Amino acid sequence: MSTIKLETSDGVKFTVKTQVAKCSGTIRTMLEDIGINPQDGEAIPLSNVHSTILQKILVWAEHHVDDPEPPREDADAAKRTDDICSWDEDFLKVDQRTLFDVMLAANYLDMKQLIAVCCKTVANMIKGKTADQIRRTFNIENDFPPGEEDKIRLRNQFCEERSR
Amino acid sequence: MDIPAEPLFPPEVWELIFANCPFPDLKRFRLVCHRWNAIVLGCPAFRRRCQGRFCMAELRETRDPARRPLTNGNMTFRVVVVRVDNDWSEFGQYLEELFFNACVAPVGMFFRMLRCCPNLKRLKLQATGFLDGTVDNGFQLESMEEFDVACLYPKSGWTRASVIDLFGPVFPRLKIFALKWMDHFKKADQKNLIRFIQNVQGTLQSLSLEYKANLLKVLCAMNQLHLKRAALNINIVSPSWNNALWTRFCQAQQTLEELSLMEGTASNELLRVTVQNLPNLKKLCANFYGPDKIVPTFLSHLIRVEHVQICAEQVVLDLRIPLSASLKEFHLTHAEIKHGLETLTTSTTIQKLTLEKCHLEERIVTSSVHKPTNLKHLTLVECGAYPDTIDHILSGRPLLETVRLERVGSVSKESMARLLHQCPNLREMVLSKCYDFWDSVEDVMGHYYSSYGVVEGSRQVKLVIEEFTDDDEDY
Repeated sequence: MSTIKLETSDGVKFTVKTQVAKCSGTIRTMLEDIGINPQDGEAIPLSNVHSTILQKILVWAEHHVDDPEPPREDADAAKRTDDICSWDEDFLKVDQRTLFDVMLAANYLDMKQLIAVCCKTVANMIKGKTADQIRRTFNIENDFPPGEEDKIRLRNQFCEERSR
Repeated sequence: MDIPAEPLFPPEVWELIFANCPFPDLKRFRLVCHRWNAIVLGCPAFRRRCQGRFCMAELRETRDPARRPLTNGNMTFRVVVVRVDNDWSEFGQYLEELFFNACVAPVGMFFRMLRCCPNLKRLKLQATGFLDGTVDNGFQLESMEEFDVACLYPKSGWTRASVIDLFGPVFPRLKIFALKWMDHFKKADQKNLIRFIQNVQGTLQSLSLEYKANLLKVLCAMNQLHLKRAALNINIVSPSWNNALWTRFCQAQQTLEELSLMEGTASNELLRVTVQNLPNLKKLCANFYGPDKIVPTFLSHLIRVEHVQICAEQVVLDLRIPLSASLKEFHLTHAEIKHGLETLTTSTTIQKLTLEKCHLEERIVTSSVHKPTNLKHLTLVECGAYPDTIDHILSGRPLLETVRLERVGSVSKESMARLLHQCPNLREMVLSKCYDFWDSVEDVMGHYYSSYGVVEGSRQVKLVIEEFTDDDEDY
């Protein structure tokens, strides 16, 4: 089975099955379109991903390598977030910082299914919460000048979900 | 505990997350901080779902002196006063859809509002009035696709006839225009309406005029008008009706794919001319005018029409005619089928048949056991028929996938079980308020399993039974 080498931002090298590495759209493009030849033994540099996060992501990719293409969803409707499979749910039971780093790395590596499942997980953390609860969850500072929030509330009165 | 600072996801990551959240949540997320507000407003999940909606509102400019509440005769509207100020431009630039219902606005201000909506795709005006003023409509909204107007009226002090023509130059790429409830329109208003359509004719694909006046002559003269969909109120019994003009209209609109004449009245002759002159027509809806007996021979002359919907109140239909092979969907309401029901029931091309509030008086002779048909979807609603006729309609349908029977008599668990047996593809069966049908889902499925020796629970079918209740006795 063919393998390729990946090098993380902290200089750690991983040897990975090519098929698993191709879960990443970014790596797939490098191999197929740009024509980087993994046989040269040279590692593909992933300058935005730390080794601890890549390690975790490879576990996910290994598990999902044979997944079929997901069905296309209606882009306009709010998606379901209660359909995360239990393996993924356990996989993402990590501290917030790791979750965010996995998400950022998945985004960088262009791994659509991992991004989708991370998005659902983060969405579940913010759905139904007030602005203040969200600020506390993510340690965000309320940077609105006085009166600004009222203006947004007023505008929101005239925003409704359109019926289709 | 170590609380991480806000994950500095790039906006596109937040956009993906927000796509998983319900709309009211997105509105609330705007209040988190500046950055979140900007991300929500810019995010497709918000913009595609958001409608700027103003109901029972009086829109005023901030600098307007307060006016008295708006009155309409003796009724005083309870209005929301919306002050449109400098913030509007920030609000408007994200909007793709705007809806005004029972609103009043100074016309000049309204156009200034529109000018701030460079991404607007759909504008809906319902029972909306405009106050007189100077208008600057010297700008274009390239994104505008759909303009929907229902009852537009001038308010007191308004000297122009109507405002509709002012929108024409502003919507250079309009695709869809619909107008209804405009019977208060006067001659001068109509001129404005025509000017508007003339202005947008080059890009218009869909035109719906639920409007009493006959604009055929004007439409025929618009040589850049090439519609794909049209809904027109034509009336063959009106004194001004002109068959030759209709033929000319059809010949000018060769691109038409869908035509609805539901608002007016049509004749078989008119529909025959229609289908023969519109080679691209796929869908046709029309209303027959009674109380005559009609043989709808236009159904033998279809070129590419796949879908026909006919309403035939007080009309006796004789269907003993050959059907064109293109016909796949046939929907008939309020008809009395005196002869030729078998034309529909034995057709090998019809895949979807809906008979609604029809009298199927004809007694099908039992010898006419027909060949298997290609029917996939069958709906019968409130159809009066002999039990034999219902049996006849339900048999010989090996490809049936869905069936809906509403307020139909002569249905039993035996006939439903037989249907399941004969139709291996049947996946949905709805029995709604059928007379004298008291069996449950379990009864029907149980009867099916035991009568046809099928393993219990092996059949995947969505079976819905809605019972007839006391509230339904009015029917």
